[in-house]
Amino acid sequence: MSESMTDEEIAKLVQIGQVDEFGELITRYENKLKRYAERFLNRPDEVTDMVQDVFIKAYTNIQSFDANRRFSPWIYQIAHNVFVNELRRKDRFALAFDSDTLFSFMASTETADGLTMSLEQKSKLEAVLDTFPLKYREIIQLYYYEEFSYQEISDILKIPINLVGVRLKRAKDKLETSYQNKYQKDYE
Amino acid sequence: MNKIKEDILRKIKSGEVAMRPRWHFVLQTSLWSLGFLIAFLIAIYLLSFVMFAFRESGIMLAPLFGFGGIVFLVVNSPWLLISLVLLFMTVLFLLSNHFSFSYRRPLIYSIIGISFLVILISSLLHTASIHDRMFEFAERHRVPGMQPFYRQQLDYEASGLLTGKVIKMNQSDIVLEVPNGKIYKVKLNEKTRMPKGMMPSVGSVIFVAGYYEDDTTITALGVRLADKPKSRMRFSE
Repeated sequence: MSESMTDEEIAKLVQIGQVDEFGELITRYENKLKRYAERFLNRPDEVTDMVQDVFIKAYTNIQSFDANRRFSPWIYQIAHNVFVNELRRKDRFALAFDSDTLFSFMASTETADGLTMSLEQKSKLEAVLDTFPLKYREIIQLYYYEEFSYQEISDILKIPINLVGVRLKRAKDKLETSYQNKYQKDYE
Repeated sequence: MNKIKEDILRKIKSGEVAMRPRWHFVLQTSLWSLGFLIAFLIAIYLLSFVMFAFRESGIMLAPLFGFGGIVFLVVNSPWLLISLVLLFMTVLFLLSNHFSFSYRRPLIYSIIGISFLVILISSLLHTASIHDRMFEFAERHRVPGMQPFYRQQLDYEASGLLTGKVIKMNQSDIVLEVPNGKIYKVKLNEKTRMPKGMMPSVGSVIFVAGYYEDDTTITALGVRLADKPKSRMRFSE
């Protein structure tokens, strides 16, 4: 029955005590979160443990979820925090302060349709993306692959909305340059 | 059933993983808000107190006494209080980042907005003489903690800033009585900046900034008439 329900409806059922329904949320988000963790952590062997940790934290904190809002940004926010904490646990300086958080006034006009590609291009692009700094990998993942809005990404990463646009623009420019450099012939 | 799902549902059913109750999150949000409010109140209290201390001690007049006066101001400013104001404002910026109204905008907006609000409200409190009243209250009722705090923070006598009544004066010296009854000899020289226009006379209340020659003699960098006898400036007639 829960297969036809929205994530938010299922989360509401879990909140009132139907804990088995949480399994459906795990089914729906496991692969997505694994993909996010792979992109974020770049350590495939830790992905399963990290994702399990995300689900446990999501269940523990499910009463803080507002069922009038979308479930997916909420669980990605938890995932982001779990992954950040993991990176910090291993390297205190892994995530330096980004000065763009202070001054990100640039108007952002980036749109998702600016990055359309074939499957082959996509896989090549992903190979290039894996070499990028975390802040660009993550934003590309959230915007182009998970299709979150600017405001949702702002809430997940707790960064200014303008900065989402700024980072996306820089990430996309960098992606195009790196892609052209690596696959010049294919690109032409 | 896959492994993650199986593991998690097992942990939930065995009670190894438990759901936090809703009140936990309500309390958490309330504590964040309360923390923000307390830090905000402390920041405006301290900043308005710094303004009060600058005015009440007369130290803000020191730059009128030339370069020496500027050095005097820099050396004798209430740096501990100013540091505390900056500390609490930093705490405010950090706490505000927990709320979407703050993190969705560039950090500089929060910094400017919060600083503006703290300065504005502190100035209003200062204009409303809130600390004059609190100090008077502390003095009248000898409030433990509060009375010594105000006295200590306003006491610049040891630093060379005196506020007192002129007992005697001539071209080179002023004999000054400060509120605690102590008598000082204030030496004037060609470098001493005297007030323009109305000169002090016997009975005037004045500010003097200078450097001690000994316990009771001070060479004045400058002298200014106090705008009005301060509430704490009670001299025996």
